[in-house]
Amino acid sequence: MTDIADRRLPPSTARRLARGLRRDWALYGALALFGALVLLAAFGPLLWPIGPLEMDFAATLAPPSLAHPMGTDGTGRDIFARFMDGARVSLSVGAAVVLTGFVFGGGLGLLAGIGGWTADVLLMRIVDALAAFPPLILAMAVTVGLGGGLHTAALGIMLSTVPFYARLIRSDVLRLRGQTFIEATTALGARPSRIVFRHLLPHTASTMLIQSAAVFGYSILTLAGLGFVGLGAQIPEPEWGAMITEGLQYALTGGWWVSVFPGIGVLIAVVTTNVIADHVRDRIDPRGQQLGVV
Amino acid sequence: MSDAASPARRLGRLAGPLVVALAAFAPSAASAADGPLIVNYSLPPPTLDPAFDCDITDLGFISSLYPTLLRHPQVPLEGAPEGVAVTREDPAKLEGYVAESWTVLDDGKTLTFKIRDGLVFSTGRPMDAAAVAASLNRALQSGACGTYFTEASQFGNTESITAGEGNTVVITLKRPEPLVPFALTVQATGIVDVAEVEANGGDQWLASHAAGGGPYVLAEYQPGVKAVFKANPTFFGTPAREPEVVVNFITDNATLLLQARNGNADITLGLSKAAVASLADSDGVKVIEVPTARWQLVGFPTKVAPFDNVKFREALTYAVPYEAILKTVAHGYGELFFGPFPPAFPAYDERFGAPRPYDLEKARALLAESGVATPVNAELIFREGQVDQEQIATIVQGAWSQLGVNIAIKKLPASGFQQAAQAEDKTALIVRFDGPSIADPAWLLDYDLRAASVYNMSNYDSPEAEKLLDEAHPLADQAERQKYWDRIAEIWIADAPRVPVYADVYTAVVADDVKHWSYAQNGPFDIDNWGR
Repeated sequence: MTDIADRRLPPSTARRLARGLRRDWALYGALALFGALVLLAAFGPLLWPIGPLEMDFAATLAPPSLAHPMGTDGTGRDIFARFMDGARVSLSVGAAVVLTGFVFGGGLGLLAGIGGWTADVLLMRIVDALAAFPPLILAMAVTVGLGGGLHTAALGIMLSTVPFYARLIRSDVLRLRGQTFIEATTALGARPSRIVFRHLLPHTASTMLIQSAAVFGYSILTLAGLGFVGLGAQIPEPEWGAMITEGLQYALTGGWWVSVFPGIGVLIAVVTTNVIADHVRDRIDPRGQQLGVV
Repeated sequence: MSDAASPARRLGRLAGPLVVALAAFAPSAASAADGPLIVNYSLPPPTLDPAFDCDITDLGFISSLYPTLLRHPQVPLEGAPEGVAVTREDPAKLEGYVAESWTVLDDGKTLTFKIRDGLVFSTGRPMDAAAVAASLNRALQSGACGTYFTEASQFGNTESITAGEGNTVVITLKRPEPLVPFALTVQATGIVDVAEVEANGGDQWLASHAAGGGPYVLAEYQPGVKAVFKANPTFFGTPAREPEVVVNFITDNATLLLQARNGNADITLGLSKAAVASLADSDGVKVIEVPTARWQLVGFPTKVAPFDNVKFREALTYAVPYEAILKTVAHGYGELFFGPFPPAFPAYDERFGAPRPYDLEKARALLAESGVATPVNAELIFREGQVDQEQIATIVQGAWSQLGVNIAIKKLPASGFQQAAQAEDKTALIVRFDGPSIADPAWLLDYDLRAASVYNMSNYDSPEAEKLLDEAHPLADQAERQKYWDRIAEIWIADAPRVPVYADVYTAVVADDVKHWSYAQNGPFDIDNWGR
């Protein structure tokens, strides 16, 4: 017997996605740029001969050159080396936030969706309490409360993303619970765990994928924001937001490169992840197609 | 003595680029010579009440509103840019201001000040001996910096301040304190029209108003925004050079810089050294440099191991790239030295204050000699918003890591920093901008050297140096005193309780039409001597 619920996407949707992706140059561009950033973060620091903390007092505030492609900062540190290390920090935090948001936020949403009225009310009020604070303010409050630093900043960002996942997954699960294939599976005597892991979770995958891409960009931007106000990475750790703050003092005295390159890093990371999320969503969501939204 | 910004304030910098963009396209002000003298300044004072003003730069801000009993005479500044006459106060000398003369009786406990006849406050009330005594008593009883300066830091030493015969004010002390006349030049002891303060409800009113009799009166004041000074027609001394001066408070460095570049300010104060350096060769402005007795320092917590080890401390002092810091942080607007006194300080003797070289090999040898096992982990703190100190901390962190000394840098908000820096037992290295209000070695060493002082940034405890300070304190013969300062400097250098990173050179940016500028001992403000 064929279990219709085992199909992740209807064939027509998959075909539409594949067909759409073939011509989606914006998505290709975003993927290429994001991939380059990942490669730079993964292998750049291993290959580049200058360390991110090395100071060259003979070359302070040197403009971009072959020796220093992104110039140097006020203490003679190579900005390209710091940019790559900063990418490592930002992408790692982004990935950690996505993972923990997925596990904790998704878990909460799932439990609320399948746990009945009491669990739903109880868990969603917790989520509401978290969502009552603007995400950046919540992240700042956690960071200030626990002491500034990369780990506490990441923790604050993670906490602020929990409601994003919880609400989406809960609504997806509630919608799926009423679907015929779930009712049929339940009627056939499937265990709750099988229903969750074989049927519900796979059908929320597309939502989670799109949400994760958006959260990834959000977390990089928030980390940069916290770094900008001195609550993120601490001296001398290279982090894009902190690097932008550090460079502000030189922005009007000719040293534009100190802030601009980490700013470009944030821009690329955030824009590419958002473009990827938007385009994949548009291709997957048939309603968007019907409305001509791409 | 230094400014700071909280994370929330720093968040406000997000609006900076917008402000900058707007400022860049804003039309230039009308020719400055046609209107008031425009001064752009980065540090708005928290209060205008002299008795409650403690920060040296804030004290300077009100100097043209409140004359003091005594003041320092002006001397020409060597090396000033062409076209502008620059003077500075000579902190080693005194001259009468509200008082036309003064005498100190032989026992040193009675000081009599003859008040100039016919003086009036801007309100029209007489500024006679009774009014002056009332003002000094108000400062004495303030429990704030008014008390500190009126008593020359010797709390509880004042027996009385009274109006005597012949328009005189008599200060009677319990013990002799030769620094009292110098302390009476500080604006915290400025003469206030107490009757006017009381008529307006008291101290709170004076925080945002003025009741003095100086060269200027306060015509308008918007806290944190601007202050307008107008020449006081009843002032007894040399009239102010400008009929009107507008001081704009601009805390954003980029906006300050753009305003200076665009010619929107006659005088710009408080720019970062990097911004000043960028203007050095610009047309239309001049940079005035004034060597000061203020410096950036890194204090060791000498009561905490391994910083209680003299050789270890000495090793660290040889592992600081002083020249590089001077170049990259101060942009050359500083001077190197190593000792308790900076080069611009009266007690400085180059035999006991020469700069320490950056010598990593010597540092490693001293570290080995110290017997301290590495790695050593320590915390270094500084006040938030201090860009220069952040850079110093970063460079020192990198330099000392080569010795196996790992420094964790912590920025603290103003209140947290003050608490940590003034704690009886310091546990962290402290980066701080410091300098005495009174340029006298005894004044400096009283707070900086004594083990019991909370302003001793290193918890430095040298009974021998303190004994010498006690002996030097009452001496009037400067040559005799200098021997003590030299010996104390020798002891200090051998003990290396802190790293004097560099002595600050104060910088002011003035437009070409400004022909007179003067630097006051307490902060840069000497507004009545500024003009076109």
